[in-house]
Amino acid sequence: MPIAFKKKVAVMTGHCEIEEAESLFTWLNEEASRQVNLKALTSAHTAVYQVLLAKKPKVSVWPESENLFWLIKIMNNKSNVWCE
Amino acid sequence: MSELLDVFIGESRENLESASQELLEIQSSGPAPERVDKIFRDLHTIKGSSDLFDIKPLTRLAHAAEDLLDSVRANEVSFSNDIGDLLLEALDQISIWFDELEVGSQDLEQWQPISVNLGAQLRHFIDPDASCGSSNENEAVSSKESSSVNQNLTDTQRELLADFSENADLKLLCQTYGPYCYLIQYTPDEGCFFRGEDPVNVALTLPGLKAFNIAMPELDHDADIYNCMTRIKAIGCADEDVIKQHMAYYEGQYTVTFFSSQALSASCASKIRENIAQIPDETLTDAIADNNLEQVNSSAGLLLASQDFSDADCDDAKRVTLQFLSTASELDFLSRAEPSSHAETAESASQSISNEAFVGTDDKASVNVLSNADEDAPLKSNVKLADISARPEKILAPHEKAILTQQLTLLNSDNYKTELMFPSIAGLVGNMLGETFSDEDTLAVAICNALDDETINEQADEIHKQQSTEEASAETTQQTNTSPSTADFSEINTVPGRGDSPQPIKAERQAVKMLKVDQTKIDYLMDIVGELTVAKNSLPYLAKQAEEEGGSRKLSKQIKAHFSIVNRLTESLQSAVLQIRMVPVSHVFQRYPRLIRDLARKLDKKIELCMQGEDTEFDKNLIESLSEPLIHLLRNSIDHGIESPEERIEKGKPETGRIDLIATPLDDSVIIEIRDDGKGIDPNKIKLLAFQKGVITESQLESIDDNEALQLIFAAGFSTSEQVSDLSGRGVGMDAVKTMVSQAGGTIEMYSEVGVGTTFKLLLPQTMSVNRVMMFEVSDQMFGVGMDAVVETVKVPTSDIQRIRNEHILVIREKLIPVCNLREALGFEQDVDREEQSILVVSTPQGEFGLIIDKFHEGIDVIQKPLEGVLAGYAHFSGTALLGDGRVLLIINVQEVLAKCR
Amino acid sequence: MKTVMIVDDASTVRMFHKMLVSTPDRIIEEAENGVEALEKAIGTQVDLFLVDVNMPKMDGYRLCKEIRRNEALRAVPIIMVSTESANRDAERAYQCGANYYMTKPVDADMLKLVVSAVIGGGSNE
Repeated sequence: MPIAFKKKVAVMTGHCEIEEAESLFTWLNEEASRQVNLKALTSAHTAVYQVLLAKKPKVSVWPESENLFWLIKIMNNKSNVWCE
Repeated sequence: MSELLDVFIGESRENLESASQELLEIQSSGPAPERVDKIFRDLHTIKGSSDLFDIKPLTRLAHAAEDLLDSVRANEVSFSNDIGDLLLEALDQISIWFDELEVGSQDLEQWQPISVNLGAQLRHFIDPDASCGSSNENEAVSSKESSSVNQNLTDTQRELLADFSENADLKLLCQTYGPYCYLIQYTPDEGCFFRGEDPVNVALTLPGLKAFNIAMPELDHDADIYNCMTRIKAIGCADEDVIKQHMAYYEGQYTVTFFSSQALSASCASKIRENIAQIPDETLTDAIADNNLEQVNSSAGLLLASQDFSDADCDDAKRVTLQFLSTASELDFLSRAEPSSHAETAESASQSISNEAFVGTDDKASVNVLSNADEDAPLKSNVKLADISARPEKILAPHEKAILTQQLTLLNSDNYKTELMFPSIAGLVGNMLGETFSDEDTLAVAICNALDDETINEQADEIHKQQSTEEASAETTQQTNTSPSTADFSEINTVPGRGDSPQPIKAERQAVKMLKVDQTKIDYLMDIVGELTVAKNSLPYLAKQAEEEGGSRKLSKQIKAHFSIVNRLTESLQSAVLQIRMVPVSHVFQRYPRLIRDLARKLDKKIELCMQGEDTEFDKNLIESLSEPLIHLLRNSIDHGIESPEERIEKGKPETGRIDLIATPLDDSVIIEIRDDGKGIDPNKIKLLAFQKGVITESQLESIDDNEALQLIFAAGFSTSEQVSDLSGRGVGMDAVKTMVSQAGGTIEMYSEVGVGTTFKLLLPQTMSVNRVMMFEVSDQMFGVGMDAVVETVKVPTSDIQRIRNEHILVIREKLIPVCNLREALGFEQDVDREEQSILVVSTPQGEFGLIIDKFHEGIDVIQKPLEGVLAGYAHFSGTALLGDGRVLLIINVQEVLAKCR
Repeated sequence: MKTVMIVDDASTVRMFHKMLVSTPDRIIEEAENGVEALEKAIGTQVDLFLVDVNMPKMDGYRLCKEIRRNEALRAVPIIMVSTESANRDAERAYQCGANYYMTKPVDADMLKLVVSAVIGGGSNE
């Protein structure tokens, strides 16, 4: 289960497929205070990123994966990401 | 354009063929340089030409193969059998694609992965280390050598970079490697997820990606998150090919612009200088002034480490500048682009050209255009001169500016040689500006003037007078005057695009060659079309059957829908084939003058043949089948119509008789008239003869009018000629002529006035058109009758058919209709007595008649063919048609049958 | 009447270019390579060469040089049209004596405009 929906936090793990996008979106919409835990997230489909970037939920734990450095920046309102 | 495609496929097939042969030769006898060269050239040609069409995967594959061969040619890669095999595979693949292109069944989506895969394998041989795409550094370095300072970013590119982020250019410069950078704007379609696309991950894996941003609108609660709303911009360093390959699946969803790293550094130069100026560090500034790279690197690095960049914007720029300086490997460009006050005019002029001329068309081209005028000392004075004695010529379109700028660049280039280059440049510029030049200085001044827009308007009038003296300039001036500068662009955009293109294409069409085809092939094609026509007719029955027996209304509907498509296609096919067979009547007419001359000589008559409308088009088969009857009619006129010269003179006519042969198109038909000014035919004589020969009855002899009497000569077994002339041999009488004409679907009439002349008028269909016939059965055999003739079909009790004198008569709605038993007329055995008879009522010029038949069938479309072989003698059939199941349908000639019947 | 000589080994490309540049007031000559082009050009009035780079026998670069060396042809402008997009090729074309360089496949309208600008006629009217 790539996304485990807990009471307040959705824990996203591994690669999140496009199918997850809708449930995540609905879940985040239900209550504004809901958070996401991206610790073990490694990658996701554009649709899932789209939900994260559009909703910009509070992130309880940032991803450990280096591949997602850009997601941290963009979710922190940095518009441009430079690969360094 | 399809002609072009045909040429392309034809040519490329030859190239493929020759390349394959050479490859096989190489594999058996080793790689001879000239063979490799030949294959390279073949592939180069294919690649180059394929670029004209939108078949990118093919172009790319050919390109990859070409590149590999180029490396082999340059001995960078040694030829192996593996390479040979792979190349052959690529050639085969291309050949398969050509097959698809030829029939129009190509599917570029399917080509794409094949192209990428084969292309990558080919490229792997060129550079085994290059993991697909991530870097082409080797190649990049090699291509760097000759790239020069003649490069800059276009305004659009600068804007895009600035738009991307502040100092994006500097930041990118810090990280560039390789000769080319790209800036891509990737706007995926909303529905792209449904095609399985994953835009963010596509962007993240862009080769040489340096930076990107993702724009995302706020989403409402009820937004459809499966609509892609992500917009991505990215910049990085990679070659055009690599990026285009990466993005190949997303064609149309992105725009990308490429620029060279030199151009980038050149455009950053002033910014860097500015920032350096703001950094108060002598070591650094000195090091830069001394062009001491090592020192620059280290002191910049030091500053970077020690500075506190908590301040916002401007320090970001400084930081990036330092970052760049700390890693820079070359600083020449900083000093190079130093603007010299003298050259400014030229620079700005040429810069604006590069931007205006090619924005939106080709970024690469613009890179080439910018002049290095500022480096050239002699020119500076010229430019100066230009400012003073500004005598501008006309408003220039962007492409004209680009051309002129290039000429200026050429004039000022290092390897310019007066004796070699001056004539063409002077000629070209002279032609464009309408002046003549004797030396470089005036030429350069003139170009600079022309390029300088500003002063044009003020002095336009002056130039006017100057230019009007020269012929070449006349047109250009006119253009200048009619189009104000603002309209210039729109004119360029619209005029050549639409207004102009039909012309050359038309010219091309005229050059299309004629194709000679064996007529039997076309006849065969015609037969097949005929069969197809019949075969398609079975579809409505299938539909009916599906509905009635299979109980499937849906299936029935589908069959009907298909029927209408097949029907339409068949009809177009038919008319296309019929068109192929059209030939001018001159095809047949041209034989006649000689015939007439010979005949006239034989009979000691003087006859002149006048032909008109020889270019009237006609179905070839029809006209050939008419050749015989026409000859007969002509003979008739010569033999019986035109009098001997003495007789004519006696009657006060010109000695030379005249025969007119006239073809006139009339709607879908053609009228052919044969007119002579001979003695004419006496209707009374014909009446009498007809009566004598039993063609008409005594009562008819009295009631018939003159015109009807004349038509009697077409009746069977009638001949007016009192003594048999050796010319009208062959036993073909007028009745035979009439039969042939009616078999061809035409009619014939005769008009004559005694002493004035005779006219035969034939009305013929222009093509062997499709006829709708009604099918019916007599004695288990199928027959057809032209639908035009059918009035109605009735079933009556046998007792209703009465016998009055010698005739069977039926009364339908108080009308007397003579009936004819077809069994009898066609020579079948009499049927056992039926209670009920099926009557087909047909209309003829003589009134309505009923035909007793066994059973009615449906009506179908057929292409009627004249009777051939043994059947040819049977006048009661007008032709045959092939049925869908291969049976032959005999089509009844109603008039003939009725004649037999009575 | 102006004469344009299209030099390209690919007949498809020649046909395409011919379609683009032919007008009633222009004569179009074609040649498959540099050698043929020179043979045809010498002794005829040519007003513009439209030259491909890569050709057998004599390539476009050499053809340019030969044209410039030939006194009779020297003044004829040359537009080079090549698949090679790299700058070095344009550079080389100019060194060899070309007056203008365009990248294949040429933008159809641009080629028409450029040709018309250089020799007049065509879409300018």
